[in-house]
Amino acid sequence: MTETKHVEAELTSLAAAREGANVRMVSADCGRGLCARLASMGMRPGMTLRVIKSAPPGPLVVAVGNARIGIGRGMAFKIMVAEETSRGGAAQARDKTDKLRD
Amino acid sequence: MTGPYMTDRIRVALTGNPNSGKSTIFNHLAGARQHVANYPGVTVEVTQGTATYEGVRLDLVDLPGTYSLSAYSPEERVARDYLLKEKPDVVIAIVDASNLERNLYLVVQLIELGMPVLVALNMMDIAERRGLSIDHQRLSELTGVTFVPTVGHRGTGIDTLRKKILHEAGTGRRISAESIRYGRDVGTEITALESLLDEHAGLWEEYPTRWLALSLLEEDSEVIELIERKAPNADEILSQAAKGIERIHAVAGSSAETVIADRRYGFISGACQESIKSSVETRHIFSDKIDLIVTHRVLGLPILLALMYIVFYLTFNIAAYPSELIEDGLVELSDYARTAWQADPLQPLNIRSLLVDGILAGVGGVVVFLPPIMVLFMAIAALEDTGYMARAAFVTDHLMHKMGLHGKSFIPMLVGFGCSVPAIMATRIVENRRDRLTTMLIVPLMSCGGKYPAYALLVAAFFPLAWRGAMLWFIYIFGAVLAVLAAKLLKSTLLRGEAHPFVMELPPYRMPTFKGLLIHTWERSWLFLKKAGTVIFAVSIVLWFFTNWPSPPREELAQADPSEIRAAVLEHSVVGRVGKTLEPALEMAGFDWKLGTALIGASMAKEVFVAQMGIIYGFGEEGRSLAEQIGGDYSVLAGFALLLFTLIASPCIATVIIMRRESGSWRWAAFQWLALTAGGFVLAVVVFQGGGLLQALWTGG
Repeated sequence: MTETKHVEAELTSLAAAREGANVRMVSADCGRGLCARLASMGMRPGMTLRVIKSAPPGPLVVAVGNARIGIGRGMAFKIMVAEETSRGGAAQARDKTDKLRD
Repeated sequence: MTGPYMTDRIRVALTGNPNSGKSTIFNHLAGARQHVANYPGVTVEVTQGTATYEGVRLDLVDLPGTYSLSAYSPEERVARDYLLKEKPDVVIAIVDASNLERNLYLVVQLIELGMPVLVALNMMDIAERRGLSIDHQRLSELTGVTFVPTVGHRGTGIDTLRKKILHEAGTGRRISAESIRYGRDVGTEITALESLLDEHAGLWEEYPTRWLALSLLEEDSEVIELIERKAPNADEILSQAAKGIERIHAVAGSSAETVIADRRYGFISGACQESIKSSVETRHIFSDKIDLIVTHRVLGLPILLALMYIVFYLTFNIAAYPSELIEDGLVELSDYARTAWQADPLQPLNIRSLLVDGILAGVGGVVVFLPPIMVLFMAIAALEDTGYMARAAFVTDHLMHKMGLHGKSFIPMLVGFGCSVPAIMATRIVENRRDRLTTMLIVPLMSCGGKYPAYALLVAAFFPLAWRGAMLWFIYIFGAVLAVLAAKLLKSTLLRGEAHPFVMELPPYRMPTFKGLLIHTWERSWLFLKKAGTVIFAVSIVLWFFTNWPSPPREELAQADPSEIRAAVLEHSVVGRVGKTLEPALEMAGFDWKLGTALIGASMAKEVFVAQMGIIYGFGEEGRSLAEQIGGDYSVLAGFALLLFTLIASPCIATVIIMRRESGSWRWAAFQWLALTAGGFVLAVVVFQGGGLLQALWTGG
C-alpha cells in the first residue's frame, strides 16, 4: 500500500551520499552474518541514517538513532540508500511493518 | 530456608550492548571482589564477582558486551551458551537509555530465550540531557519485564536494582515471549515447527521450543547443528524449516530472517513510541562537535600522533622516577644480602646466589618495568574510556587497510608497546580470524617494555650521546614499519583473504571515572605481573642453574683473578657451552659466544638480556660502566646488528604461551617464533656483512 511511494527516489550507495544527508537504507549486499550484525546495530532496510561524515577515501560516520557508527568505505559501497527529505525514521519503519502485517 | 527470601544464593548474569556502561554497573554490584575467568574452550573473558545483600549471596557474572544473541561473534556465542547452559536466576540487561531502540533488541532476544530478565535503564542522565523523558513503568507494562532507571557512574538506582534482583529471584517466573507477535505467516511456521519439536519434548528442557523454532527460521547455524545432533526427527524438522523459510520469502518478499528482525524492531519502536517523549531536537550534540575535529580528514592523524606522543612521554619520562626508586631498592637489597650473608665464592651453586643472582635479579628486573607499563596502560585505558580509541581505529582504518590490516588492529598494536601478552589478548577486538591472526603475529615487533633496557644499554654502548635519542626513536619506528610490512606479506600469502569490512560503534565521548581507569589499568598490569610471578620466576631459576652448572673445579677458580670468577663459571656452564657451539653462526652477525648467552636469556624473557650482560662483565668493575665495557668489545656495526636482532628475534616464553592459547594451536606459536628469529638473524647478518663490505669499499676507494 505505501511501499511504492519511496521507490521513486533515486538509489545511490551510502558511500556516494553527501555529508549531512538523511538517507533511507534500502538494501545491503553482505554476507548473512554481517547483515545480522548491521541489523543488531540498528542498520537495517527501512531505517533512516544520517551521514555525519564522509571524507573519501576514509571511512564514514553514520548516525543511527542516537548512536554513531563508523563504517568502512568498502562496506558503504555495498549499502544502497535513497535520499529522503522530510519523514522520520520511525514512520518509515512502521510503513515497512505495516506492509508485512496481515 | 534462611531469611525472608526463597534462597540464600542467587546467580546473576549481566548482559548488554558494548558501551552501555555494563562494567560500571558490574563494579557497583560486585565491589572489589571480582576476578577474570576464561570461558572454557574459547578466548572470551568473563568477569565474575560476589556480593552479599540482605544476607543473600549474589554470584555475579559479567558476560561480554554484545548487540544481539545471534551467534555471529565469539562474544555472542559465549553469552548465549552461558545463558542457556547455566540458567542464571536473574539476567540483568543493561541498556543505554539514550539509545533505547537499538539496545532493546538484545532485551527482546533475552525474553524470547525465556530468561528472567531485569532491565537496568542506564545512562538516564544522558538521555535527560538529550531531552528524552522515558516512562519506565510504561515500558515494563508493554514488555512484561521490570525496568530500573540507573546512572552507572553516579551509582544512582543500584540499590533499587539489588532489591529487584532479590524480588525477581524470589518469584522464579519465566517471562512469556508471546508479547511479540510475528504475524500469521511466521506464526504458522513457528507453530508447525513447535509441534514437531514437542514430539521429543524431553530433549529440549533447557531450550524454549518457541525460541528453537524461531532460530530455525532465522537459519541459526548453531541451532541447526543442535537439532541435527539431538533430534531423532531432525530431517523432518529441518525440511519443515526450509519449507517455512521459502513460504515466508514468497509471501513477504524478503528473507524470513529479515521479516523476524523487522517484527522485533516493530515491537520495539511501538513500545518506545508509547513511553519516550522527546522535548529537544538533538542535532548538534557535543560529541559530534568533537568528532568534527578529531576525525577530520586532515587533522585526524596529526591529532592521533600528538596524543601518542603524550602517551609515550608520560610512559618514559614520568614513570622513570618510580622505576628508579624500585631499582635502587633492589640494588640495596641485593647488596645487603651479599654483605650480611657470606657465601663461598668458589662454590657458585649456593642458596644466596640462587636468591640474589637468580630470583631477585630476574623477577626484580621485571618489576622495575611495572611503573612505565602501568602508566602506558592507564593512558590507554583513558583513551578507551573517553571513547577516543574507537576514533583512533576509525582514523587509522584507511591507512591500516592499505597495509592489509584493520583499523581495529591499531589498539592491540598500541598495547604491544607495553607488553605483548595483553596486546595479543587485545586482538580479540578484531572479529575476523584471519585479520586477528595477522595482528597477533606482528604484535611482538612493537617494542615492548622488556626490550627497552636492552635498547638503552646498547644505544649507550655504541652511539655518541647526540645520536642516542634518535637511535632509540629509529628502533621503535623501525619495529612498527616492519610490523606493517610483515602484515602485508602475511595477508598476501598465508592469510590471504578479502579484507573484513569495518563496522564499529563510535560511543559518545565520556569523562572516565577514576575507579574505572584503575580497574582497566589493573586488568592489563595484572597479566604482566602474573608473567613476572610465574614464567619469569621459573625461567630465572632454570637460567641461573644452567649458567652456574657444571661449575669448574675449585682449584681452577682459586687460581683465577677474583673479578674473572663469574666469567670463568659462565664459560664452563651449559649456557656458556651452548653459546660457544652457536658461535660460528653468531660470528656471521658480528656476535660472539658471550652475547650468545645473553641472547639465550633474552629468548626466555627480554628483560634477562641486560642482567645476563651484567653477569658476563661483572657490574661496575674497573670504574667503567657496563655500556663502556661492551662498547669497547664490539664494533659499532656489530652493535647495530645486535640492536636489530633484539628488536625482531625470539618473542619471550610468555608470548609463545599466550600465542598458543589465543591462536588455538602450537603451530602458529611455533611459526611466529621461528619466523621472527630467522628474520632477525638474517637482517643482523645482512647489516653486519653488508655494512662491512661498504666500509671496505669506502676505505679502499
